Amino acid sequence: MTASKPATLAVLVAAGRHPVSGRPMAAPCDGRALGLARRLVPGDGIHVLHAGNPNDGALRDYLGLGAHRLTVLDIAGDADPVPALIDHLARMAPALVLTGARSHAGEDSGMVPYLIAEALDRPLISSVVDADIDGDGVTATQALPGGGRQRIAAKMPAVLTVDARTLAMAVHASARARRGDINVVAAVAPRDTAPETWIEAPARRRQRRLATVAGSAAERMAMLLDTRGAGNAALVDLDAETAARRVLDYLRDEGLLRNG
Amino acid sequence: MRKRRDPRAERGRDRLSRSGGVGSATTSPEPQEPVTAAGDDAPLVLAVVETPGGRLEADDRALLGAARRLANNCAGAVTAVSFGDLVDAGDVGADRVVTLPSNQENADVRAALLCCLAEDSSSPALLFRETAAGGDLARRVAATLGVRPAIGVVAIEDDKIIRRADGGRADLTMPLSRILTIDTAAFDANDGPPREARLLPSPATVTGSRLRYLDVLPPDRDTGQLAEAHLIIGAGGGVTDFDAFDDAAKALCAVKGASRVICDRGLMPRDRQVGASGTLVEPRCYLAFGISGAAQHLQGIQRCQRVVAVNTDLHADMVKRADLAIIADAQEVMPALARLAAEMKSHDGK
Ligand SMILES: Cc1cc2nc3c(=O)[nH]c(=O)nc-3n(C[C@H](O)[C@H](O)[C@H](O)COP(=O)(O)OP(=O)(O)OC[C@H]3O[C@@H](n4cnc5c(N)ncnc54)[C@H](O)[C@@H]3O)c2cc1C
Ligand SMILES: Nc1ncnc2c1ncn2[C@@H]1O[C@H](COP(=O)(O)O)[C@@H](O)[C@H]1O
Repeated sequence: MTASKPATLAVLVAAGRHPVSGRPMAAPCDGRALGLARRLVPGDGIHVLHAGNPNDGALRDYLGLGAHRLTVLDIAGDADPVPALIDHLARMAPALVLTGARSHAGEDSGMVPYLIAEALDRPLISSVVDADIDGDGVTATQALPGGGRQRIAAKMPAVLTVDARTLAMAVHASARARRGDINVVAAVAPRDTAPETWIEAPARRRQRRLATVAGSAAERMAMLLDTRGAGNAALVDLDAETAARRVLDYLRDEGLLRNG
Repeated sequence: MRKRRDPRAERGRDRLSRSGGVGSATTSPEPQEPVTAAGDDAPLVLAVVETPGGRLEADDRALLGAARRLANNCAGAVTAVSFGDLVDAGDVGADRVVTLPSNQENADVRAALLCCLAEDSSSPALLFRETAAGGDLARRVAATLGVRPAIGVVAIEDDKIIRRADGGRADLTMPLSRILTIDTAAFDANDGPPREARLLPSPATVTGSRLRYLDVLPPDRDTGQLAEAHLIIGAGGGVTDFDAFDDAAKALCAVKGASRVICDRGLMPRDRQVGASGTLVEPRCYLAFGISGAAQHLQGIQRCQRVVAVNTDLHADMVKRADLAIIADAQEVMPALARLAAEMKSHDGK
């Protein structure tokens, strides 16, 4: 690839479902992946790709989010989409493959990007919130827990995943949803037999360790305010410098000093 | 470090007895209980802990609790795997410990090390937390080893697991997988007797990375999400010098929070308010400058792991809540803190 020619990007989109009603819609992570792609290259360098049913109602949503061309690899409902995606991407050879972290629909395991990176032998960077393309390299900004950011560089071609928890959604321009074209390509895909052994049931509410709070409101308040037995020493009569040093030592012991 | 009474731990035990006991242990540990050892050739159930700040946290302990359930099924040894040193792993149920180099931060290298470890030990199960880092490693290892993982496991039942799927709308019951990511909030820590935590050799080093880790940018101190911050510096009515407060936040790479009086007075934006009617925060450490510790504020920091208080009043409730309390004027400590932290950084930067 040369620096003068804009890079080609593939954005993989799943058939998303509304978290409550199950109605077809753009998957939250995938809509963001598309938004990130649009910040990186001009629209005609972006190929949006879905493997599944070309009539799925979620697909129009992606056109509304600014997909210029959407290619659907037409495969059966019980087929594994990954081999078809790998086959198509291997021929298309985009500089970057952008995907969501999870489809939040169906098996919803977030494995698709990893299987593709493995099969195409590409480096993968997860939880990407921003990226810069420079020649044949990409520098991605990864969201860290705690709100920090880590910059990671890789040679293209590469795979980037985008997480809805860390990146805001692009603006939805719904007029486009009616205009855009969906290009259907026939594809063969093996049937996925593993799900036949799974038993699916509506999600049951479960006790969550952190969320469970025992006792009455009054007892909880008493527990909250119970500062007896804290057993810490309050340090008095320190000069400011010594006091500050104690705080820093404490933070360092807790592993909270970034350069300490 | 002192021990704080942990109401959550007690609630956890409560629930164990109701559900008929999780794992092998049905009794609470006695102080001087003998160490229980797993057989020498017990297969290794590998649990990759995350130890932020170099210490096992509640979710790591829950992960080891889930590993114990699997180990019971296969007479296996619960093996805590950590990047960096691990202490007291036996107390939380680890039969074995493997430490991998902490200076190797690259995810692809970490995954390759874990693949070696899993293959060399023919491990029957490899457990991760379903966090950003743990979930990423799990999927890398699963793709390399060609395993279809069980993601977001909420229950383990003999040879089956239950996991959330379809965006949280469905529970899938499926056969056990060799690679699992655990929704740790659904599991309890072990409360069995201490284990031996025998240190095993770590696998050979692996080849180079295809990722280049550059700089880390701290969260924005003014706009960083309070709910996800690891270090929060909070200002209360005892803070008058907000330039010094900002300097301290900057030097410590901390996200700024405030008590209600500060937001009421318009000294900081409303979205910075910590407390019952603001944001409930759970940083690893909360630095409270000139905050009295009213009930509504304490409610907001209920889940903070550590609290440092700087206050002129020895009898303030925040001072009682704190793990480290300094009785001093915030206006004097804040500039000293900013200066020393900045000095420390430039020192280490050289
Ligand atoms: C319904 C309701 C909801 C509420 N929700 C919230 C909420 O979400 N969050 C919240 O914070 N509050 C909330 N409050 C208000 C709460 O009750 C307290 O009024 C408030 O938290 C007090 O803030 P403060 O401790 O910063 O200030 P103050 O009460 O003024 O305390 C100032 C502290 O600073 C110390 N101090 C003074 N000078 C110095 C100095 N030079 N150096 C160091 N220390 C010094 C003092 O000893 C004192 O401890 C709520 C109240 C109600 C009724
Ligand atoms: N059928 C599909 N066609 C195209 N992309 C997909 C498909 N399924 C999943 N993806 C992509 O892979 C990501 C992770 O999905 P999953 O592994 O199904 O949770 C999604 O966010 C999409 O970007």
